[in-house]
Amino acid sequence: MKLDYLKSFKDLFADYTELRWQENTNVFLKLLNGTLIENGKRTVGGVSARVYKDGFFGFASSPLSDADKIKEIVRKAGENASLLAGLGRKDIGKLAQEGHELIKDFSTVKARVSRKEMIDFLRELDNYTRSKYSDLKASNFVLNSLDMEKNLVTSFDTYAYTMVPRTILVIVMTIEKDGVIYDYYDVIGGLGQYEDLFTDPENFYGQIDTMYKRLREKAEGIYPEAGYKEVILDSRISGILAHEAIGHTTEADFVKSGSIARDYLNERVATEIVNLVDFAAEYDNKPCPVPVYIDDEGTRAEDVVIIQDGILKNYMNNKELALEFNTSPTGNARAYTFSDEPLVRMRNTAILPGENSLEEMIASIEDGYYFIDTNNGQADATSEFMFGVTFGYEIKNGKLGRAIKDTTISGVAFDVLKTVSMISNEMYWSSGGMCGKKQMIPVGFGGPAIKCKVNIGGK
Amino acid sequence: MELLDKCLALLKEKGADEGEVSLTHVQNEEMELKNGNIDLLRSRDEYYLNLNAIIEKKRASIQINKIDEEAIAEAVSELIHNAENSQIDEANGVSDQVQERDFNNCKDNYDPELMYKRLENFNKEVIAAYPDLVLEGAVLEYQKRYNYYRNSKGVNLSSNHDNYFFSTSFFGRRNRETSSMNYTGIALENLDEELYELASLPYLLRESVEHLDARIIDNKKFTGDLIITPDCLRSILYSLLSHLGNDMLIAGTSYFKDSLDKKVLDGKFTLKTEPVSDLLAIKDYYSGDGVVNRNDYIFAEGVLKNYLLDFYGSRKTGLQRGPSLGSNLVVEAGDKSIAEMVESVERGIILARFSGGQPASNGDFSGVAKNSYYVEDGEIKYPIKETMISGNLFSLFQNIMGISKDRINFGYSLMPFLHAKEIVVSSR
Repeated sequence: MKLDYLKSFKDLFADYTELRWQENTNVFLKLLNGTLIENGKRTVGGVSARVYKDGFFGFASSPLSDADKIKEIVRKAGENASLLAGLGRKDIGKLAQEGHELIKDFSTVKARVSRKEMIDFLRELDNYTRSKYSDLKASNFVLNSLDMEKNLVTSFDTYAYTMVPRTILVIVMTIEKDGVIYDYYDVIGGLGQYEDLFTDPENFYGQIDTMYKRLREKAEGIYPEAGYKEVILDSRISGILAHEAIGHTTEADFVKSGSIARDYLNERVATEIVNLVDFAAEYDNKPCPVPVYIDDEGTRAEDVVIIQDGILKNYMNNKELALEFNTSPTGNARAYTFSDEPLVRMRNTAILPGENSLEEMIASIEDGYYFIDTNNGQADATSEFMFGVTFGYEIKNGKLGRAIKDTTISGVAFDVLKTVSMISNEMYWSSGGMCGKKQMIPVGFGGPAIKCKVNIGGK
Repeated sequence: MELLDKCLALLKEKGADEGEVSLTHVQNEEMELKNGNIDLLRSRDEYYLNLNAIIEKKRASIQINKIDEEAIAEAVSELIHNAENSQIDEANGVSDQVQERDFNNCKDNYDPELMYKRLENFNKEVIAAYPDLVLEGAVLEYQKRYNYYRNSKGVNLSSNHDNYFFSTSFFGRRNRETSSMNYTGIALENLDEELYELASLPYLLRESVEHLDARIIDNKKFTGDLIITPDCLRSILYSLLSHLGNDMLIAGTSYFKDSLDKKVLDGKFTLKTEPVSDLLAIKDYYSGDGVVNRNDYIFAEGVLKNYLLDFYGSRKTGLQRGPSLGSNLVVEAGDKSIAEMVESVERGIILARFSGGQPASNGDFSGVAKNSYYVEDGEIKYPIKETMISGNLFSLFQNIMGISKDRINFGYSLMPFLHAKEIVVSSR
């Protein structure tokens, strides 16, 4: 922890100042067809200062953290702010300056394992997979961990230390059928270090078996029919819908620019059974995939209720935008590395569970699809979204039918949410999400299964 | 460089049979325009030290951003431990293409006041020319990179290079109507030109406003032609090239496996990698594997001429290391004007942006046609929305109707318009 060291520079702060020491440590291992083709570690750390003066931000950073360098970056950040303030005109008032003290450490309490044990773990998974399923054309196991350790000291007496680790295992299986390649991909893991998540390879054999079964079904499957259909989006896909299609349009910087959500505050944007929240740190008294207790501007993070009973209620913001929107900061200002400035980012965005069982939802559809897995998603200012669907089934007369091959679905989220007629009573969190918005950042998203109407880009 | 020699000596002393070390020093000055204000100036000074060790054909790598002796000693110690505990792979090794080269393309033309002026003019011009356009953001940065590479076989490379990079995102907005977001990025040698005149920006900005009147295509589903714009072509090519890199060739799942010197795409398609092109602002003199890059064909008139494997991938597959790892893509110009291409379309769309996932391994893809136009009977009819397309990546490049004479220079790629056929278009 570097808090005491950072505190010793507080006398240098002439204006609103954030001084952050951060280190990101990333371990990545990749086993492709039994061969370890990546065995690496990356540690990127350093100090940054951000100064706010007359409506402008100056930012400076350095990987070095000796006293002279810290003095230099605090001075440089101030100079950058002054340079812009001298060239332009924009003073919107004082940023919120409420101080907080917080220490939150999600490091494992177990003894750290060696690299050899991690590689052996992957090899055991690979051996199990390739010996049981000898017809696989390729198997790919990728272990990726990211420890984000942050120390923050501000001019307004915030002193915070957080250590939030995430470890994920990505599995990709590939088969060939009639000369055509098919693959299936899954992500396992989430909040925590390796030792807390990957204790025994056997714990994952069941998931590997399910993946192979689905891959075979997909290879035998049909192309979904292109068009506008009634579907069930399983929890993994509804989570991406919450993040990509709704969440981004309700980030206050985007709202200020003119996203479609700007016109909809306190209006109906969904059927009344839809509730959508960006959770800061905890859901159901348990930590979310990416718990944020305090953000990188020193704001204590709060849950943001974005949609309540179908009505758009709030946006996510940072201090400057809270000032402009005449509201309180929500704690959504997050930076990826020490040399990044905090941006308005989501934390853990989810549609809340409803009252239906998945079985009754399937039974209610005569001709449609049940989309289960996705590998990516994108959305834009209009809330129009696109998600890649990597697995699912057709639904005929209330029953699951044949599996489907890869497809893409799309829609305008604020229209699609008005077609939501059933929501399942379960909750699933996706833990491997990385969101790109100038900088990358880990995010959590989740939800139940929802029944709605979307466009399908089949053949 | 003395630091790298010390690192190599330390790796050897601690037990590495082979080693390689590279250092990148980046100085970056970034100015950001957000919501009409230039309100952030960010200065960064960063070091990235990469160390690779091979012990008895077992490999590990580590990257740190510190260059003091203590940090390096700690990293080397961990690296050696990780390599010793790794897995034997006969393909592990460091480049033996021994060269001592120093590449220099530094202009040292950082000018913060000119940066401010160009960004301010961009903002003013866009507001004046397109009142219904929202500039979501614009970032102008100056970046200076020093790269150094050494390995235990005697390869000794260094380069320094600086350039500006401009990126912006925008959309149309009128009353409660909003058009899809669009964006582009351009690398520049200097700031001689105004930003709003660069690359594809003049027509991208105009099209975002036109898309405020976008319509759903009347014809719900049809098979037609596709004219892909330069911005969009660039992103689609990355999917195609993933079949030429390490992962898919090592796994044996590449569509282009065993296809070297075979005609696999349409004869009208020629794609080069030009890492040291005079035409492009970005230079990519050598890659992280310590091999000097060269300008060469990837596809020449539809014939696959080179894979894009790195040194390890080359040894693992027994194929040649690529001329580069896929940097600075240049598609050879065709003989059509854009007007001629449009005139030849009976029914189809101009695809300006594709919002879709990575195509499946067999090349099948589907996604949303963003910022695009409906074309019928040789005329652009109207901007479209909520339109999906599906097809096959390889079929698309095997059925090219024409390539434009005019190309857009993004500073890191040079792309024309490309006309292909038989894409399924569907709308709500």
